Amino acid sequence: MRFVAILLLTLFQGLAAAAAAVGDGESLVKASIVYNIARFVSWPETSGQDNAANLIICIQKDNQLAAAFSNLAAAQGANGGFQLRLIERFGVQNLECQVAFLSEEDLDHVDLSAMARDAILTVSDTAGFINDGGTIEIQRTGIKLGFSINRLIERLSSVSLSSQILQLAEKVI
Amino acid sequence: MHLCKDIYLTAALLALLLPAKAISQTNPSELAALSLEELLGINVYGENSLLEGNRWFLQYAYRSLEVGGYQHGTNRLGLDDVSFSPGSPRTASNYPVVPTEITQKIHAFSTGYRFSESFSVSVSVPMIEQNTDHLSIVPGFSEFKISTDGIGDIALNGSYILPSSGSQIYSVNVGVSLPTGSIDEVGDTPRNGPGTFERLPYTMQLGSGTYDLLLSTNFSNSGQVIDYGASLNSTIRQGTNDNDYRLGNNFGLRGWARYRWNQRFQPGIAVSFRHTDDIQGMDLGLTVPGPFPFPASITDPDNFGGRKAKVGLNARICVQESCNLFFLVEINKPFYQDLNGIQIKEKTEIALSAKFSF
Repeated sequence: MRFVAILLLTLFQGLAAAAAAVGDGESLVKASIVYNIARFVSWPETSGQDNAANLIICIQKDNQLAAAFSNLAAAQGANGGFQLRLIERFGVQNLECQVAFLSEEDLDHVDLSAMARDAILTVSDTAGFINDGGTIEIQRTGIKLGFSINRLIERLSSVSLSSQILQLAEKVI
Repeated sequence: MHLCKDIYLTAALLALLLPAKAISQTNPSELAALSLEELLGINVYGENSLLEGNRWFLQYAYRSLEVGGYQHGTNRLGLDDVSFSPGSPRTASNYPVVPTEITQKIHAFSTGYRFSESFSVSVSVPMIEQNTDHLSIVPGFSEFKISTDGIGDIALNGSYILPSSGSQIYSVNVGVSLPTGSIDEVGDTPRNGPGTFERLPYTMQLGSGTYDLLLSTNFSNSGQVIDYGASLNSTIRQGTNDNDYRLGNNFGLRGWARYRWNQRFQPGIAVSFRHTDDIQGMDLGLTVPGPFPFPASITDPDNFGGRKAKVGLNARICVQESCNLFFLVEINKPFYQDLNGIQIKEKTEIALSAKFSF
């Protein structure tokens, strides 16, 4: 029995390491949703242009979705895709982003109103994000992902979400 | 003939399920090519999630079952009620050999492959250890223990998730249990005196000896914080085994709810009911000559089956948020048992399992 216990422990240590190495599929789906939403957004300076070709998405390097965005950007590279900017810290650097994906920790030091005024579409998977001044909140609904929109912030940021995006949103406030 | 018919039926059902739509979200570029509607329709959470890498699974499950104390129907009996004592009348409801406690431990190793979000197959190999403590009036056997261990019946399963929308999942499972577990386990019993090895009772055998059809249907719903579901399952035995008996068919209903405390820890509760038929036919190797052919309650095929209801507490612990590797801890206690004939009642069941998807 002792041998079996050691064998199982070793096996599950190996499995745990393997599990950590396997890509997080949910993060990849979140990143893909953000990219897809952004394709249907018009910014003041890009009105009438192909959004996907000029899109710049920013995320902090230490965000747990950074790897997923990097993988998505690399996969999209050959097809035009979007530009990904991995930044040290929101609120310090002068941003040239159209989309900023924010973590819960980022919210402690960013000024969401200022980002909105700079026409940056702010997105996060932090619960309550749209109530705290963010524009789009990605959330899990049951076994699937969905998103909610704060239209007040959308108007403040002078970006325009397409009607298709508004129809697919679970909640619009 | 029954066996061939059942295998053909199972194969035909599996063949019907195979062309299920294969969605292959296997890499970032494939995901990026999906529309927003398609992305919002992906199952990202739970055991049926099919994201990158989640096609195979490996599972180890341990189950320990403790059985002790007698019941007839719903009435509790003491050991004195079921023990035959010299000088008192021998009847069909007292026995010269009395099992007092049975423990069963199962280590099950499973692997499976998910062809699509809808269809998966799996195989499960159980390793079984069983011990029974006895009291008897037979000289040299006043107290004795019998043990068996080895491979049990290997199960092959196909699972199909029905098309649905929203957070509800309906699935059907069709499987077959192969008679790989021994039904010829022997031990030193009082039947022919010390030093002789006789075939052991039904409870100590490792398999059913028959090809069994495994059928189940499941429903689950995932909310923001509470997941819940129910399942109907059955084991339908086919034909009669080489020792001239067939274990009872059984039918179960289980309801469960799980609180999603966070992505990594989800405690839950489950309530289950199971009806099991008694054994059909008889292993004559377990009987003794005379008016009372059954030396112990567990050698009488009528003393099997019944109705049991259990309540269980469990917890699912995910190693990481994506839950590629999770552990399940469960404890079940029966709160109602209506047993056929004179039987030892179930006390506690403990289950631990680990599942890794990759």
